[in-house]
Amino acid sequence: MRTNYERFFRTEYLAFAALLALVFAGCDKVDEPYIENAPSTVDTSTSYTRKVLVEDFTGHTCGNCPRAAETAHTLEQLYGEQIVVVSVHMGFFAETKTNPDSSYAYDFTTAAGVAIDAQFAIDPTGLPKGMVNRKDVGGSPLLPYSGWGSEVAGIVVLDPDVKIEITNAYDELSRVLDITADITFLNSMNGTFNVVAILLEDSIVNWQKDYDATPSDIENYLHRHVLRGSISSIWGDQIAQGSVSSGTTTSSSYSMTLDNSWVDSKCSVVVYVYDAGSYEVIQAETLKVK
Amino acid sequence: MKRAGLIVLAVLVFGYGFSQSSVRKIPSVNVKTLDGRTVNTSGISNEGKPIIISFWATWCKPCIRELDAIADVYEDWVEETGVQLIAVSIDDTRNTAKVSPFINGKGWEYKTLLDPNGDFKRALGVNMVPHTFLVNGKKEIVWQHTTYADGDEDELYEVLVKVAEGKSLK
Amino acid sequence: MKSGLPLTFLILLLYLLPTNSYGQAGLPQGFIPGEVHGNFQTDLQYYNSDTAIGAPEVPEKLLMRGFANVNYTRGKFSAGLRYESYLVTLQGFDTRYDGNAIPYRYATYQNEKLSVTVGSFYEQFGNGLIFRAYEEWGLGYDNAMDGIRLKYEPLKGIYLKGVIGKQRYFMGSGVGTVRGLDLEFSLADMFDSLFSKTNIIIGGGMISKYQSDQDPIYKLPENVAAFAGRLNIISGKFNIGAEYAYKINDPSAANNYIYKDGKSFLFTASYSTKGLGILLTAKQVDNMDFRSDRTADGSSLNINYIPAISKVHTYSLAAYYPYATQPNGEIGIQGDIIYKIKKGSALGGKYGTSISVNYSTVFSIMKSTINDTTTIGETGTLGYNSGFLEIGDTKYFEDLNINISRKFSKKFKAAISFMYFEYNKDVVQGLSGYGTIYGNVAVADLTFKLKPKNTIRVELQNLYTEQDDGSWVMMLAEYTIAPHWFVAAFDEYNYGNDKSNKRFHYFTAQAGYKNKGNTFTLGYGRQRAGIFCVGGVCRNVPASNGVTFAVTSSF
Repeated sequence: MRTNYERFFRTEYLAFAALLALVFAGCDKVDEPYIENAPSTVDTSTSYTRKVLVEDFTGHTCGNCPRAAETAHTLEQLYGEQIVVVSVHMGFFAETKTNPDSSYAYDFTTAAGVAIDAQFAIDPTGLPKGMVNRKDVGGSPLLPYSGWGSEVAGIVVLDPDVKIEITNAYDELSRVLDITADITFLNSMNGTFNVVAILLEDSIVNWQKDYDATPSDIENYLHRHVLRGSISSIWGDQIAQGSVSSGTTTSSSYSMTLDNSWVDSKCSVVVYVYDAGSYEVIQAETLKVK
Repeated sequence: MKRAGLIVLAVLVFGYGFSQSSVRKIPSVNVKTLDGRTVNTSGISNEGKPIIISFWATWCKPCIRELDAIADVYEDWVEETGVQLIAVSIDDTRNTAKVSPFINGKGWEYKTLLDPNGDFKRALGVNMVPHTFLVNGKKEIVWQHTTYADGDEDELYEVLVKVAEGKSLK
Repeated sequence: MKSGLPLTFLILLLYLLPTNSYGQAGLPQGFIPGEVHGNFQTDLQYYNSDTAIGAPEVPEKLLMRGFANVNYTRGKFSAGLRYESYLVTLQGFDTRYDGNAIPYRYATYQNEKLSVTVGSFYEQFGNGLIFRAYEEWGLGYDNAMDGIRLKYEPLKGIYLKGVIGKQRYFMGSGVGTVRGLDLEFSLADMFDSLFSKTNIIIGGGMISKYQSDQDPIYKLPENVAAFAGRLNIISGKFNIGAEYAYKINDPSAANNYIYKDGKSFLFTASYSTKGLGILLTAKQVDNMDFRSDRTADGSSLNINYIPAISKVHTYSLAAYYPYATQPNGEIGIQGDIIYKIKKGSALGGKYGTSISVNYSTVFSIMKSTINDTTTIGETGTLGYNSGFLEIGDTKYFEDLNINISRKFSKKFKAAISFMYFEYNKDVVQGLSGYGTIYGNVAVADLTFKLKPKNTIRVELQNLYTEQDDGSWVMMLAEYTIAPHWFVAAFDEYNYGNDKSNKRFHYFTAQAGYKNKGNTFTLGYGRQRAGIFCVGGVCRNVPASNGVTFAVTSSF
């Protein structure tokens, strides 16, 4: 029997040699420039493309979170309309403070943010964190911000599975917003699909902690694409189930009254469709309120 | 997941079947001596006399209290039972260089082994230190205890005397 | 279930193994029974909400984390697995540890010269500067490799290790692949007679990781290698060791995507003789955060391990501000003296007295700009220039501590400790605006033996500081009845907090029973909160109030 082992392990010596070669080969020296040329993005005006939902989980006392916001902004510049960024304030770092200079008194949290945090257990893993289309990346959809770019790059090149068209009507006096999301399945799909509509407000100026800044408490920080709340219910409504054939269309309508403190010209609607089984988002779309 | 649970159960059941019929030997893994030599733990021996294997670390206060307490009576124990204590340090590379000065600085007479990768620790199922094993003259592990409270060395001594006389602990 | 296939393989190995030729009394020739051993631990906590200290409401109320290791050995073969359960994991641990799984399973064949492991393994090269796979259950850290490991000793004293695999990432595996080789010569083992008094150990290793590049922003190296060489000379009372590690360009989230190479140097020298031990350590680290996934944050997917060179404190207030290595750059030294005043001398007393003095200090490294237009550490550039052993301006940490312990009689032992420290909270925790904390700690640890088996131990600790949460006092009383029982109670009181309404008591009571390899511990009380930061990511470890129960068992 012993010779059998020896024969087996002889091959392992060969593996050793192979490994040696691998290790020596395993060295890529990169030369300048280190920054990629901008990726060739698809012209969104002529053809309908995949659009990716990037959720940035943040908090105003999270001093590392501005790095994540910068990454999201870089990606927006690279991919234009192909990505939809949503900043969700949540957890410990989003708690309001009663400081004498009234810093961090503003409440950025939302019921939707609380529900997302509870569903994906985000806050205990530490902020900043994010999700790209809520796609599972090794047991959890949570990704540090430096991983967002690669994930987005892998998704935007795919053909869209679903087309979302948003139409809205907004009454500036009553501040009532009515929206309709028309959804067309472009491919035959299998599963349970939900649609969600949320409201964002861009360019809110308020306090933010930033460990890279001196002093680290910034009074006039520009908070971008902040989640203000759900227009539909938090987890949305089912639009299709089972085997869905290509060309299937659905239409969902929602209404919401905008809070008086929100700047309506900075608000926009985001609609996304996700697979209710895996929570993975298959398409997102956005439209300004006015 | 059910399947994994079943497998664990199967291993446990079959395993216990085996282990009931056998004695527990010192497992075979490589550790280092203070002078940098690599030795295999299966080669640990004390010429037919009992061995105490004590897992410890330089940062572990109860371990040090235990080894200090035994140091006070160690000469008597050696004289009466011929026992040898082997202090296995689980310090990682943050503290391995400290082990030799520490042992000397404490004036301990123990033979010392280094297990920085925790191989010996895992092979013996050590959760935390201090964890002490008593090995009889046939190199079988016959007794163990974890944690340390002052006076625990007296229990160890009682067991040690029995083992040195070749009595069963059951 | 991902681990299904390897598991099946493992079980097959267990039961289809050919038997060995060793005989054993009472058993048929050729049959050698296997042995199964292992250990088990579970930690449970029941949470009460406690708004005063900020302990949140925990919806599940009862949380649990636990594991069981089962190891099987039979002759030259061993195999084992670890079942882990997090239902839901305790507060303060990463919630990505979730559910039940067998993340660790292995089979090993080992003879005199060769050891082959398939499945999970822990391993390190040298001091770990380029590679260390290890686990710390108490910290919730585990970067076990999953793959193949070969260890080969072609001639006595020559050790070759080869590893390839993926690293554990919570309940799954990381995306990158890690492979490496290490070779070590131990001259004393090779040439027994020549090196009987002096041993020289020479070693070197390399590690390469692969991760594909799909990043739209940076041009990234897909293969990144690191190399290390080490030398250790042990002669009589002296032991001198040095290791140097080098890493090629490795832009990652941890270093803000700079393309600089990384370097690390570790030096230790010790002298020890009966009753005296002296140790000196020096270290430089420069851009050596090395992970199998360049996007990883927190304490996950680290390939290497850079030991901190400060003392590991165990008294709770001395450990209140623990230093952690800054892999992006630091330089420091440590000195350690341990001395025992002889038994029976005037100073030493009847049983002798132990004195230890330890000093460590850590600074930033000197960094300069690469050109006029690039700021230090700017992303997508070479980052900065740095020299060898050039000390920067910022002090990260300093610790001077003295410990004296003495046994006065059979009934009374005492240990006292003093410590002065400086702790740069901004740097160590990756924060800003907190500055450096300066403090003193004094500890008295008194043990009274009432009866041969009944002992009372009392700890009195004071941490004095004007920064951060201010001063703390801690009192502990522990009563043990050897060999089975203990009860303990302690209180930490934040008497020096600036805000008088935050001067809380954190009181805890514990009781435990142990027998042989088993311990049971029951506790009730409050635990203080803290922000716990690793590598620029912070986790809020909330305060808690509740009942804890822990079982550990070794079989």
